[in-house]
Amino acid sequence: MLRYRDGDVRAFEVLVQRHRKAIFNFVLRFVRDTAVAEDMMQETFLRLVKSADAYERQAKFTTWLYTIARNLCVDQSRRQKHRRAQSLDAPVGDDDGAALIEMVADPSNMGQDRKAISRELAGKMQKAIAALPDEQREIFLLREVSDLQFNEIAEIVGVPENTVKSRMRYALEKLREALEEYRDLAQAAQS
Amino acid sequence: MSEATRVEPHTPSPCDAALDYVYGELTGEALTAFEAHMTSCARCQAEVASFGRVRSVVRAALPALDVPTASQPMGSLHTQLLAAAAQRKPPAKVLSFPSRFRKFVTQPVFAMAATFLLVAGTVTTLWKKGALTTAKQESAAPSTPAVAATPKETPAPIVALPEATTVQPELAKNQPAKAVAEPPVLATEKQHEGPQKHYKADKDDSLAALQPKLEGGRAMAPPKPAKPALARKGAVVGGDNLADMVLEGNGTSSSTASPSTGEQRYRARLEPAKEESGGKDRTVDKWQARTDAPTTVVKPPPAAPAPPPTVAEAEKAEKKKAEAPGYAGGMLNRDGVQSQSRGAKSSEPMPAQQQMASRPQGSSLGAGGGEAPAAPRHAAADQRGGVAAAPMAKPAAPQPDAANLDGKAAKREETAAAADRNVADLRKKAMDLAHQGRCNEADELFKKLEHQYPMYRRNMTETMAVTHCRTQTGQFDAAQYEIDNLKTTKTQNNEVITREQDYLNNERARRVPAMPQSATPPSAPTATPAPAPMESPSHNMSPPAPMRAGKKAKKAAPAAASDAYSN
Repeated sequence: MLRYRDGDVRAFEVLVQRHRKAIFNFVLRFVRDTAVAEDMMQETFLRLVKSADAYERQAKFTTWLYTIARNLCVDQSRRQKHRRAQSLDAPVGDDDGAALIEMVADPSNMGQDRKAISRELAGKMQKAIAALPDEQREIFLLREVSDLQFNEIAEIVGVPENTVKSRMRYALEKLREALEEYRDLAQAAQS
Repeated sequence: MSEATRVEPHTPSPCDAALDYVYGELTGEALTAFEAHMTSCARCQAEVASFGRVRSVVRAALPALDVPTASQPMGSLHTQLLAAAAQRKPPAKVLSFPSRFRKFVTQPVFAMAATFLLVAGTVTTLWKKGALTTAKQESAAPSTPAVAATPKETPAPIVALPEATTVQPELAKNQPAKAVAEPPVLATEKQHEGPQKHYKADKDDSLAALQPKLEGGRAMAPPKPAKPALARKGAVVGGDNLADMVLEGNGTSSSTASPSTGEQRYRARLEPAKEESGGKDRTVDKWQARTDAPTTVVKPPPAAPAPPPTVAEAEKAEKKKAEAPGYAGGMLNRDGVQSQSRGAKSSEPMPAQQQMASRPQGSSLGAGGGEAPAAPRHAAADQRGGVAAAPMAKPAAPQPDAANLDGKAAKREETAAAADRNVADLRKKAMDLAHQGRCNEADELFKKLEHQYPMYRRNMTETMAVTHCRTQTGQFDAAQYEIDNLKTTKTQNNEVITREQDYLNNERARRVPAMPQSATPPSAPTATPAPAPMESPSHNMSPPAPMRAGKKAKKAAPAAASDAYSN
């Protein structure tokens, strides 16, 4: 990022290639809309371009980048508060019209039964994640999808680290409760 | 939200590290301690197991997805993003100070010091440029209206003069505090310098811009440059200064009935200018006239102006004055030297009042005889005290204000006095030599006087003494030359000149027959009552006499002309 701030455009391309997938997945899990997620990813990097002059190496670049993406997600979530959430069964992007649930399980590694179980379990799991409160969901996604540490998440969200851990604990407990309903299904999928 | 209602654990518990253990954020002793704790804590074991299962399911349910095609490296969005990134202009490189220097610069003390230096520099610059002087003058402005009101107190004829010049003496009297603050100078010097300061302040103004100020009664100065020597002289002899102008314009009949040469020439020059100006304010015309001739006395026309004399009339009056009995034309004493000096600076003749003042005390014209104007005699006294027509017994006497001369004026006065003493000594010595018949030595002394004091000219007594000496010593040609000069310039009484001519003729007739007989000086001039000649006969008979006469003729002509104006 420092190189791009000093005028190296190639450095910015490297940054995009390095972080676009993680940003896209985080945003996609947050907004649950592929087109919106793509636009928000684009907006995230554009804001990076605009803010490049003010960049100071005071924090980790990833933290700064996810802060931008998270703020965009929060704004988007507020705008679509009363809109109908996109169904997990809705087509995702340009992937041949395949449903999100179908993308969760790898068909090549499963048999037809397991495929069906995995699809059902993934669908249930995504519903459970979508049902999480925003403050827990963002922390859960930043931890599980983006693989950020708790201290980094605390810096991005702007809350203490213990609060992050607490919210993460609540999110995991809720997901565990959701999985209890599908214990057998989950055990079958794991086996 | 349920987490908001629950109480956060304030004391760290080993069980709190279960989450970190699940996500692999425990390292070192913390990891070891938790593993040891987990072996004995069923709750932690159950929690870790449940969280592990959830995570495994989540990983299976939330695989990492690739970005859409549009955002791929060759996609449209990606291209747009790179184009936007390429359009960004890198910031201009700014030289960064070292951190230590930056820390010093950002100190508040440094900012205060820089501000102080900036203000001090600005004030100093303004002070040097004189911008603050203007403010100072403005602060003293309240005194100006009082000055402007004084013309009502001045005598009516003064109105003919520029108001600034008439107001200044009143200003000097009415402002004692200011007089204390400033260096002590003569009233006449204040009269010249005070307006000069005002003029310097407004020197950029045009004449048209200054005219309203003059008419408005403000103390404005004429553009005449300050001449301290003239001012001092004016104070001493009551000659050319503004007070004289005031008094001469004060309706005195002598001023109008018997104008001096300077007045006549001034009027002769001023009147056409007035006619050309279409009869506008005479003050401005006079002021302009002063601008043209700074050393000329600006004499205002009287309240009832007489018909302006022409130049021919002025010259005629001059000739009559020269022919008056006892007139010491060309006999310039100390004051005459100064007057001549002024006359030499300007082609204008010396004004009459200055001529009067420059005459030695006891002169036959000093008591007001002849055509000399009487008004200037009390000019200095009137200027100081405002007493009109007070008789002045000693016009050249030092003024009481001389004690207040500043150092510079006093030094000039001392220098002038020393020069006067030297001149007097040399003249006395030369006269003694002439009386002793040592004409050559006397001539040398007179030449020395003329050389060291360029404005010095022999007076009539000295000329007659030299002529008589040369006649006695047999320098007949030289004596004849002096007599011819006297006849030409008509600066001496005809009777005296005739008597000297007769004496020369007699001596020439008596001695010329004997000249060819001996080329050597007579060893025993028994027939000559005068002392023995100091010069050799060869010198007397040699051609150098006409040559000397020729040299003197060159000097005598301008000298005679200047004497005519200076006496």
